[in-house]
This record gives sequence, structure tokens and C-alpha cells, in this order.
Amino acid sequence: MKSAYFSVATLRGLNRIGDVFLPANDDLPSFSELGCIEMVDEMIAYLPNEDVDLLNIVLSIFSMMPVGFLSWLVHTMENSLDKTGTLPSLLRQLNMGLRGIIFGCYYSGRSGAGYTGKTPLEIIGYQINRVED
Amino acid sequence: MTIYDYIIVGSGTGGGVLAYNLSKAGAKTLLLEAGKYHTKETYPRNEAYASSQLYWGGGLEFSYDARMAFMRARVVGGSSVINQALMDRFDNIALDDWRAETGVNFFSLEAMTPYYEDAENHLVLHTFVAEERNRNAELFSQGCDLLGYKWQYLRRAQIDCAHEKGNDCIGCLGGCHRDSKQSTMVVYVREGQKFGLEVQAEVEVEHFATGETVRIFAQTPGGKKEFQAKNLILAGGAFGTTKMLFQSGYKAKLPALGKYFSSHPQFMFFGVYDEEINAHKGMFQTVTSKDPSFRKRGFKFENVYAGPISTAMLFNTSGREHQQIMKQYRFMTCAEVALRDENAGEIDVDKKGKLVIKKTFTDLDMRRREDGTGVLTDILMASGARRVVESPYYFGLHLMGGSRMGLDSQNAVVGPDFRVFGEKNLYVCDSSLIPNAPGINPGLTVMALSHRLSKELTR
Repeated sequence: MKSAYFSVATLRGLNRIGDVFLPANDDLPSFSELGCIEMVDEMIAYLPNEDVDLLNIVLSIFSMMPVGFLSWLVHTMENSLDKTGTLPSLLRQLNMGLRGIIFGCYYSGRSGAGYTGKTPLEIIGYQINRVED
Repeated sequence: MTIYDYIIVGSGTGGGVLAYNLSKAGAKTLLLEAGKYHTKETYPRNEAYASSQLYWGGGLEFSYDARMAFMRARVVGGSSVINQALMDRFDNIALDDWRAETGVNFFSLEAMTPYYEDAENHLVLHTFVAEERNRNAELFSQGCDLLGYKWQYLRRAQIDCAHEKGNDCIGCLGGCHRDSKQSTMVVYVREGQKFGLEVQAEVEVEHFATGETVRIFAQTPGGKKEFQAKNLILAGGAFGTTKMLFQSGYKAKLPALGKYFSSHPQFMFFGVYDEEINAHKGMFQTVTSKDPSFRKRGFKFENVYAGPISTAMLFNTSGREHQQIMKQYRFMTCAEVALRDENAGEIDVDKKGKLVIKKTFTDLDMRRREDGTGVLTDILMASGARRVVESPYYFGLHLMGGSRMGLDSQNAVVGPDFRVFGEKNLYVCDSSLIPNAPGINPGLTVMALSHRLSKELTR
């Protein structure tokens, strides 16, 4: 899969951290199983360029890190909420930025070309009617 | 180069109204907006893409310490495209406080009434009734009743939401696909275009220079562009307008610039029930708290809900714990504590031109939050919730102040004539001129103020 914004390593890193946030559980697919990286370009097309550049760096690093480190990082980010100082602020920003992309793709109602199961929205039963004008 | 009578930057409840009125009066008017020009056919049909395409920052912006998130629209029509079009007049409490703090005499219900009427007469307003409540709203009002707290049906600017045909209103948070919501895009901007209003979308104004005419410098998808007008009206909201003034060199001239920022911080609470609630279905947000004691205590409750992505973002969990919560999505209700916060925040711009927002919570703010949290938890439990889950995140959707109105340039940025102090052809008309948090949705009042300025300019 090719992205207009992310390198191959970045996409690999996104899949790895995505699976830490959203592993396969019961009937819910993991982030990577769902093929979320195929939706990511539409998600980030409107991000400021500097944020995209930063994500490219951070996610590339994640592609090389062991899963144990990524789990520790997610845990540390989640525990940074009420802490003061520069590092907790950066962790909170990173946490929200990653969650925005990961949850945005996962709960978009779409899936990658290779996924044939139900989407997370179908599994939680989310469906809205749009009565057009 | 065309020299316009007026260039307006920002197309929400401030700029949209002015653009219509000035064009209708025959002024050569150009409306500039950083976001895209959408129609009901082109608004994103998906929560993910609505967030990324219609908001600054790709969805969320953060305070400098990343403790608080802000949401502001970046689309023609501004916040009126993505909000719930709730149309409340202010009460004496709010306007008396504004008058006391600023000395501006027309901050009174009597003086504002003709302009509220101008705005209301331009909209189709609908007050909800019992049968339009969804289960989320029924349980909220039931909880209030059981504990003796007053609540009321909301009044919304909408014309035909097709509720009886099964339309689910939550979708219109990403832009109304029926043109039912009375956004400024629908009722002012498009109508203004019939009177010759020019609209240029995807134009981000960076700075300007005043003189006999005002030169405006902007970034567009095609590169940098310059515009010129006899008068410039800034209507980019608390962040946008304040940022443009900073970047145009007003920091040294106006010591109040960037100060007095408030945002009605919202703290979200979810009630978890044994029954299916389906809070995302039907009419979205039909009731609100209306207990007089809450007004005095500085908080109110909004009975709301959010799409799955926003809901997922509100819980600071991951893995199985997160997925278990999301599986209960249809079994939850949601309400928020919205604070009438003190105006202790600050808006600034760093050397790279990036916004730096400091949102300070005062002791009074914290007491109000604690007070409201206790009452709302009781209401949700009384309505039958098995448990109540509080989101650790909080948000600002009503971004106010930074370029506030007042009588002198030491304590304010614009005078009662909406002109920036020291300038003859530079105006501000949006939520940035709000002097302190009213504790009431500010949309209708910003529209009323815009009608007031429109009348002064076209007199």
C-alpha cells in the first residue's frame, strides 16, 4: 500500500502502535487486520504539514521498536494526564494525535481491501439514517 | 487590483451576517474564509472525514500544556456549520456582567432586543416538544424531575430535520446534508451572494496593513495573494482574529490583546444502563438544564452525545478495556457539565506564528466543576444508570475573548463602535470581542452584535 504522506516504515510503525491501542479481541479485529492504513491518507490530508512531518519521524521510530516498548509507551502516555512539565505535555499531545488517527481510521466504518469481516461500527451496532433532502 | 468597500475575514456568526447585510445594502463586499466552500451535497458523510476536513488542526487544537482541547470550524459558515444551532438570548445576569466589566452601555437586554429580533427574524426557529426527545433526553429529564431540578426544551435554528422520516440528526455535526440547519452559510452567505457578495474560500489571511485602504496578505492553495479594501472587518473568532492582530503588529499597541480568554469548558459524563439507549439516534440534543440554582452556581448541563470516534477519544483507555467500553456505545447516555468560567485564559502567537493558548482554571472554576460534577452524577444515577463514567478530557467549543470590547485601549482591543482602538477602518465583530463568559451559548448574541454593526455601517 502506498501513501501520499507516509513512508513504508511510517505505515509499518502506525500498524504496530495501532495494534497496541486496538488489538484483536473477541469479535473485534485489530487495527492492522482491519486494514486501517488504507484510510490514513484521507485522515491526515488536512493536518498541518509540520504535524505530518513529526508523525513520519515518530512512527518510523515505532516501526523499529519492540512491542513491549510500545505497550509501555501507551501506558505512560495514558498516565501523563495530570502530570505537569514539558515531558508529560508532549506525551499528552502524542497520545491525542495518535488516538485521533488510530480511532479515526478504526471507527470510520470502512475497511481495507483484504478484510472481509464486520467493521467495528457494525459490531457495536452503530448505524445512522441520513434522510436526504 | 479591485478595492472593495469591505473585506470580511471569517464567515461564521459574525462575518456571515455582516457579509449579507453589507452586500444587500449595496457595498462591494468580499468574504474571505480559510476553509472550504461546501454544499449540502459535499459535506463529508463520515465522522472521521468531517473532523479532519471541517476543523482547524485536523480536528482538535490544544492548550500549550495539552490539557485542554479546542474545536473550531474551518469551513464557509464557520462554527454555525458544525454546531447544534442552539439559539438562546442572554439574560440580565450575562449582559449586566458585561456592562459592569467594560462600561459599554448597549450590553443590556433592552438595547440588544432589536438586534436579537433581527437575527431571529432571519432564522427559522424550532423549540422541541416531548415526542421529539430520544431516550438519552428522556432519561436526562427524568433524572432531573426525580431530583427536583428544572430543565427545558431547547430552541434550535432548523427548518426540516425529517425526524418523522427517521433522520438521525447526529450526522449534521459534520455539516447538514438537508440544509435544515440554519447555518450562516445557508441563511446569510448564500443569500448575500444573490446581492453580489463575493466569497473566496481556502484563503488564510496572515496579516494586514492599515492606511487609507487596508492591504490584506493571505495564503491560498495557489500561493500568496493580496487583497485591498476601504475597510477590513475581522470575524475569525477568538483564535483567528486575535492571531491576525498579533501577526499584524498590534501586540505593543494594545496590551489587552490576547487576554480575557474564556471557553465554557465542558466535562463529559456517560451513564451506563442495562437497556439499549441508542443516544445517537433521532433528534440530537433536545433538552438542557434550566434550574435557577445552577445559573447562580456557574454551571449548566447539556444533554448531548457523540459519534463513535469522538466517544472513543473521550476515554483514556486502550486495548480490551477500551473495546469493552465501545461495545457499550448503544447502552450509554451522555451529558456534560459546561462551566461559566472566569476569563483568565490567554491567547498568544509564538515566533513561528503558531497559536499558544493558556487556559487557566481559577479556584472558582474548580469549585464550579466539582459542584456540577456532583449534581450531574446524581441526575444520571437517579435516571437508572448502573454507573457513571467521567471522561478525563475536557473541551472548549465556545471560544471567547482575546480582542475584547471596552472603553479604553489599556483594557480592551475594540471600542463600542467595533473599531480597533487607534484605527478608523479596522473592525472586529465575532466572539473575540466577548469580555467574559456569559454561561449561555454565544451564537445568537454574536449574530445580534453583527446586526448592530451592520446597521451602523449602512446607516
